[in-house]
Amino acid sequence: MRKPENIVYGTGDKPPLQIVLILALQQMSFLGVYLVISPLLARDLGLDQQQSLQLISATLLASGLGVLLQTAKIFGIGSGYFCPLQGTSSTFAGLILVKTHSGLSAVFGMVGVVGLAQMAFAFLFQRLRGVFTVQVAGLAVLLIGLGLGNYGIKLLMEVKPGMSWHQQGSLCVLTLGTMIAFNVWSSGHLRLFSAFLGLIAGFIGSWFMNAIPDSDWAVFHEASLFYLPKPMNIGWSLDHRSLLPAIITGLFLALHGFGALVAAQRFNDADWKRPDLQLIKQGIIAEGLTNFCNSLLNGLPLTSSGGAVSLAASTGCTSRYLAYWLAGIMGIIAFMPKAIVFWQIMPLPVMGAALIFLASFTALSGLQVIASRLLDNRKTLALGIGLILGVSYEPVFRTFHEISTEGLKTLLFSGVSLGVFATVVLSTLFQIRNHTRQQRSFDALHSSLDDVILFLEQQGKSWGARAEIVKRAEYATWQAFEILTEHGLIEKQDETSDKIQLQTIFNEYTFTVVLNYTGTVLPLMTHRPSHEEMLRDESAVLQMAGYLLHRLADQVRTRHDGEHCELRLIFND
Amino acid sequence: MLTISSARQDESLVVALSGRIDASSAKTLEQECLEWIAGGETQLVFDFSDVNYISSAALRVFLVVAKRLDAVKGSVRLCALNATLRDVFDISGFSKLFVITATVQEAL
Repeated sequence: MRKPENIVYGTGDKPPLQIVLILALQQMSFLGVYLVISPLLARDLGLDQQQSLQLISATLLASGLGVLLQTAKIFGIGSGYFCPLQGTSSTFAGLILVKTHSGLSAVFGMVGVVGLAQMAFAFLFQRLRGVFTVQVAGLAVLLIGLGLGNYGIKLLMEVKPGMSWHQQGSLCVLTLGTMIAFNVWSSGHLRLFSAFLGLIAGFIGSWFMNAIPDSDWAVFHEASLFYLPKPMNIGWSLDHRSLLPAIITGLFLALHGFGALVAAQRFNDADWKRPDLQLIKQGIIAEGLTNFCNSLLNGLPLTSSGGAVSLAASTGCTSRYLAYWLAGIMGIIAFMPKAIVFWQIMPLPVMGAALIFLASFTALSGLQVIASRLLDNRKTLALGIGLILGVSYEPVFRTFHEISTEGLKTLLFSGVSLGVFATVVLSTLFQIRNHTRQQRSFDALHSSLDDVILFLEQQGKSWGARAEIVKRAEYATWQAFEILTEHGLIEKQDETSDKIQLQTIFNEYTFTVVLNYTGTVLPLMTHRPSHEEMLRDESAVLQMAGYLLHRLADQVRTRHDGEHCELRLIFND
Repeated sequence: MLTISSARQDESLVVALSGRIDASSAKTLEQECLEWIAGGETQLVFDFSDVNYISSAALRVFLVVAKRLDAVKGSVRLCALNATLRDVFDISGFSKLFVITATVQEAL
């Protein structure tokens, strides 16, 4: 795995203590915005103050556990990447539904089932390699980026009591401008801390503009300094009516995790070509296990934070040591309600600016992944419709929410999940009558290079192969055509034509072109003829041709059964 | 299908090739080159900017041309090869035999 240029400290690197501490604070500053999710759910569930504190503390403790499990990568749990977890309001519908029918304690039983469901889906995703392709991974990353950006714009555009448009705009420009300035025009430590410096600038600007309401400061002063959460303090029970919403929520959390983990892989590997489904499985298992433990602590379901992953990548540090320190900070803050409240004070335009900054990196990364592959009509439609649904999540959510039953509302988890789910369903559906393994017969004497290129490009698009690999295959295949025809290796079918059957096979790791013909096996050369030999002997041209073919493809295999010959050109992706 | 056009620039004959240099078009190219050399040309520059394919038979043609020009103390230069063609010349060891430049101007 080669570290990308923009990454100063990669997964296995150990940054100096003072740097990793500041970076962990930077991450906490970003994740701090999601601390408001727990109080919101506490309010919707009708929890009293003690129960609210329990929920908030437990969620934060579980977040710390989650980031540790994710990075630890032991006993098949965790991807090894820096991929923190955050609360999400998208699970509210399911949780409130369960509370309505089964009581408060069943809510946390549901969270436990969500965790188990995530772990089960993790194994399923790995088996469905043909469905969870590079393009789907790219779509997930793109939607995460667009979702972050959309949320950032919303935070910015929302009218804040006591804050004018001018103040909101100024705070956004100050925060975003500072982040961009340090990220683009500085290097080393300043670039590492660009997001944090922007947040500090925004906070200081908020102070001078009196953008933080007195009521927020009052809450801060009233908050207690220390609180000890107790496991199952609110309760824990299981009701069969919570199973379906839990499984559906687990599926969508797993899909969201798939996207964030793909982003983490992509950001850490300059030579990334496809998702490592084994590590993704381990990563989703870590998330599921975290949520199961979270249920016992009476916390809110957590999902992977694409934003935190983007923050790490955009500032150049994706080290697992960052995870250790972040877990430590989360663990400490979990026992300190005053600290939790302080992190919630950050004005929303400042957080909105941060989200816009991070969204840029993530969205473009996803776009690059999708664009790296050839797409046929089926893939274009599956990805396009998924993308449109994903970005149109809010109007879809509003309409669907109004007309659907309570149970179905849990289906609308997030734009990422909706988009990926739609693409996966359509991709599976489009496999019907998809004759990807086509065989076409070419008249070697009268076919042209353009005919071969057209066929291989169509095959490449059907398979979703990388354009660069298909290009190499086109060249080598025509080279093979020439060798077979020019050197009389094909037995003529009649006076006017030689037939070559062309077929392709693709398995995400290799693109194989198979040529079947009747005649003589092609001699493969592992060493090239000398220049003198080529001048002296015309047959040396065939030797050079065989050598070129041997080198243009990653592997060349021949076999024959009497006069029926097969030439296999294998290109590694 | 190969299109061959030539134009004199300074003391060199710049030969612009367009299309594919496969086994059949290589024979035509070899014939033309040998006629130019017989006619007194000693400095040949081949422009590959519009060539998308070259076969081993074509490589032999350039070898023959280089040998003939070497005998009359001439030179042959190749320019504007795309990445795939450059790969072919590198794999075959032919890139060591020729001066290869990015543009015609650099070759002159």
